[in-house]
Amino acid sequence: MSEKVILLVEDNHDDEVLTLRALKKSHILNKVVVARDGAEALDYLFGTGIHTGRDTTSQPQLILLDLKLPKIDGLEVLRRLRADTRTALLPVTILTTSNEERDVISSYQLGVNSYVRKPVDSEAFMEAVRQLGLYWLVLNTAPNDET
Amino acid sequence: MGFSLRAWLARFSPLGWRLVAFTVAFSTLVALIATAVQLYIDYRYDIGKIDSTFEQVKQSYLPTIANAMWATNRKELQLAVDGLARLPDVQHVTARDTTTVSVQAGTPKAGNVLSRDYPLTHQHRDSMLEIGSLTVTADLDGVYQRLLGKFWVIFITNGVKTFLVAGFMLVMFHLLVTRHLHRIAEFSARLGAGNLDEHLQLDRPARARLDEFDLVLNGFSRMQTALALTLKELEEDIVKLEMAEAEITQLNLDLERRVSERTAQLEAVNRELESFSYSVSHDLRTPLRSIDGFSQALAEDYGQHLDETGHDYLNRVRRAAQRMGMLIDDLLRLARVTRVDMVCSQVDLSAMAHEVVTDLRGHKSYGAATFVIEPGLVAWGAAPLLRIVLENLIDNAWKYSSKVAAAQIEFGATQQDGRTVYFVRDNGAGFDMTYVDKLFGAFQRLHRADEFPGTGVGLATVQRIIHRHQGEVRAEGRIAEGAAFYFTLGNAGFRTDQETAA
Repeated sequence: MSEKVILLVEDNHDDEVLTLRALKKSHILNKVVVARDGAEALDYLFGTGIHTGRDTTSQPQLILLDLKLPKIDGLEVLRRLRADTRTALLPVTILTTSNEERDVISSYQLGVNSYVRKPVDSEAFMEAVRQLGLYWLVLNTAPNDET
Repeated sequence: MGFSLRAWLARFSPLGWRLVAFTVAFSTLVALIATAVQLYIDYRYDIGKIDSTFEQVKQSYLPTIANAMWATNRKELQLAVDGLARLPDVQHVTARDTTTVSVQAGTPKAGNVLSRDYPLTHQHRDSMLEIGSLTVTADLDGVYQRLLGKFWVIFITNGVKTFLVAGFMLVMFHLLVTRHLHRIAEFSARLGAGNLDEHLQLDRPARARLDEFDLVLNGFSRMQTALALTLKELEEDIVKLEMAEAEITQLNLDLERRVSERTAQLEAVNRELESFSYSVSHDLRTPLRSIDGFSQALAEDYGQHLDETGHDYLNRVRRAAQRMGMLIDDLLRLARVTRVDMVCSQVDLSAMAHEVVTDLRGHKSYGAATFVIEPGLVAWGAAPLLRIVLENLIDNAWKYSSKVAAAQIEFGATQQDGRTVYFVRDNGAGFDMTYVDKLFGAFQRLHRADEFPGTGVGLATVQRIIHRHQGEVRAEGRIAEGAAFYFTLGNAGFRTDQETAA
């Protein structure tokens, strides 16, 4: 049985630490793989680059994707993983600082599953991460749960 | 032959023919009248001659015939009567006594005759005795014959004369007038076609005394000069017009170029502004989240190492970070309000106000308040922007009356100078009218943040939205008695809508 992995795509180290802390505080103990830019995220998903040889039949249960990323930005990562049959159905949540309408619209056009703006208030942030984990890892049934 | 004659006649102008026709008609009329007068005079003369013959009969013959009749001298009577019958124009003479026809001469005739009866008398002692009568008949046929003969002579003479004169007139009219008229007509046609350089010349000898054609020539010459002058002026005007047009075209091109340059500049500035606010919204908030997040982590994870003051400091750090987050959000909203497209429609402000209140009840905890919302307020405007206006005004009203026991917040409208003025009124903290000017400035606040929290951007946003609707916004307030915010939506479409709805 494959482990329910969370892929966190986040270039800001502070946000990474705070997100991981929020997950821990919410008692979400799944393995979290962190990719620090879009290219690294795609390498992980498709078993290329530094992740060459990874078993790509095992894909994360949830992808938390920032939009503003070095090299390849979040929207491009989303486009590419939706275009590949191996990753097309993966639950993807945008977790980002901006709530510019054009970003929200573009994300949904590219087939994102949900869009969450990171609140400045840390309590609100923790609550958001807790609810996300609970929903996508416990409540929600993903297409690859059967395999 | 006949055809060539007609062709020759056709050379003469219709005008010439008409002149001849009139002349012939008139001349004939005059000739007829003159002839009639002449014939009448002749007739009178002939009749006069006959009358004098009759007078001669009376004077010279009547006594002789009367004597012969008295003496019943038949032979002498016949002789006298025969003598009478030989007088000119006398056709028939009859002398009779009181009983029978006794003597006659000539042949009796009916028709055009002139008769006269004379009584034959004889002086016997003292009385005049009527012994018979004498009838003399004169024949008028001779007179009529002579008149008819004269008439024909006069008529034929006049006809020939008229015909000759008419022909002569036709030719002369052609030579003197018609051919010149033709030339003038041709010349006028060429003039009409734009040939202004040619001068009108008629084929006729020069003479000292000017006639009508000379006047026409002079007139033409003057007209030509005037035309040439006008034409020249027109051409100059056209050149000027063309130059002006070219100038306008050039100016338009310049204007278009400048407009497109300015548009490009504006677009560039807009893009810059957009990317600026995008990075503000993204990059300024990220460190704030770190500050707040790690302060909380510190408080939670290492709280036991801090005393009360340390926790207080951490709380202050967090409050400051959150406040900065709010400021950034409000600022971004203010910027967006200016940029967003105005898509106007009919907006039910009353329903919108109810929604806003429901929303605020869910998010804020300002305490109990009564809301009085006038139903049926409809406006023409951009719904998302008007929603921001109502959110800000109602949120403010509620916030600033949260410390009042029976808070009441009203949303309604009144009519002022034919315009609908909307208002949001509360009975809360109010404000000092001295500082009313500062209310709508960004980051301007009339209350301390520990009294009533806020960023001071909300009313600036409201004002911007109202201005984008060509409306006005103003505030009235009194400390501890409440505040009222009035706004209009200066959109013409709104009033029309209300009228049609009414």
